[in-house]
Amino acid sequence: MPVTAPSSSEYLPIIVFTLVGIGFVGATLLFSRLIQPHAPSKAKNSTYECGVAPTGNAWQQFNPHYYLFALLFVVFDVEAAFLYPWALAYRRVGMYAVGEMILFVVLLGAGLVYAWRRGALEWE
Amino acid sequence: MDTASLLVFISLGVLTLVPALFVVNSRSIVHAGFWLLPCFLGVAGLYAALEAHFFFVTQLLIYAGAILVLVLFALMLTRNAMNPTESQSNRLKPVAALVCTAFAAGSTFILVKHPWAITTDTPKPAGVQTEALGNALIQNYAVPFEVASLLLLAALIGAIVLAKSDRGPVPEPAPLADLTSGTAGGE
Amino acid sequence: MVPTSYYMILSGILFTIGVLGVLVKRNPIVIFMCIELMLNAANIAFVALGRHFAQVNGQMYVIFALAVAAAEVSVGLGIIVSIFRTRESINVDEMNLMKF
Repeated sequence: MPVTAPSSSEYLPIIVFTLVGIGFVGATLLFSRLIQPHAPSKAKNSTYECGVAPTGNAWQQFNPHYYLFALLFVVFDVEAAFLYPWALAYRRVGMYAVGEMILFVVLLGAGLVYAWRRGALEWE
Repeated sequence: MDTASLLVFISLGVLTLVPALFVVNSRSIVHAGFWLLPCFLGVAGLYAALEAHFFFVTQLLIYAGAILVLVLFALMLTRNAMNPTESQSNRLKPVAALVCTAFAAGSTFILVKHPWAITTDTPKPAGVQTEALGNALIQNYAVPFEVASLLLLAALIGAIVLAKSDRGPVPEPAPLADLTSGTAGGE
Repeated sequence: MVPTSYYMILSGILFTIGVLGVLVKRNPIVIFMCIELMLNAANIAFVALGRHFAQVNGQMYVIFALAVAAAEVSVGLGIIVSIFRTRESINVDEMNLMKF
């Protein structure tokens, strides 16, 4: 079990990375804004300059199937969050812990089997 | 208390509370959804400042990653339901704002006046802390742990029933033998 | 280190913002977002108090609150989406029937 140093300064790389990421995007946008020639025309301002003119409203209804996938993702994301502390601690407790986690995973696996049989995993 | 950590706390607090106010005040529901992201990131930063490293990661994974995506999908499924030009709030708004401000002021007053015990805790390394969490999860909280799994199972089945029920008659579920003999999907 | 009371005050204010949203908003999905804000506020309070008293229980409540939040958001948004598809309206002030 690797033990890391107890310090908030471990977050320094994350902070630097975030700031560099934001700064890079901001600087690129600013730079292109500064050097670009500004000559708008009607064709340029259309949604797709060289494409077919779009018809209808852009705010159309999405396929509800996306919702089912997002739903499965949320549930199994939470399962992963439960697995992580278990994985750090199960060695000390032994088979009891393994049995608990098997029950946990089998219960959620039953949900996955149900989703599968209802056709929630298929794209129509 | 050193100035640096106070400064970090204040900036994280602003990053959390200001987007939260925008979520409540935004006229467009899509903007409200996207304002939720900096708020969740601010909460993740607060967990990091509290040395709860595991929750820093789960906050990013579950709230900013999964729950926010689900909320945005729900917005896209129901988007035209309400006219974005009319007010998103009901007529209670001034009264509710007054009551809530009073509530926040009162709870802040109580929290400031409360005689907080001096904490003797020294923050533990991330691995040790999460291992203690796992130990407690396996030993003291074994039953809630399994009940959480059952809760997630119930939510999964319930949401699939809700999301699929209105596509005409429900297709007959295939017998389980189909699933095991390799016909993927069973239908 | 920042005192625990600061975190508690921040959590209280975030919770109040969530309550305000639940009280005044008319779109149930925005109400859901405000409930998420309230859950996050409670989680901050749990983690801060768990650190204050050097107990693992505070963090334990947060991990179960995560599971509850995931279950709540998936079923709740599923209900809203299916209500929208049968009623074509999701204004909570118009929803006053237990069945339709």
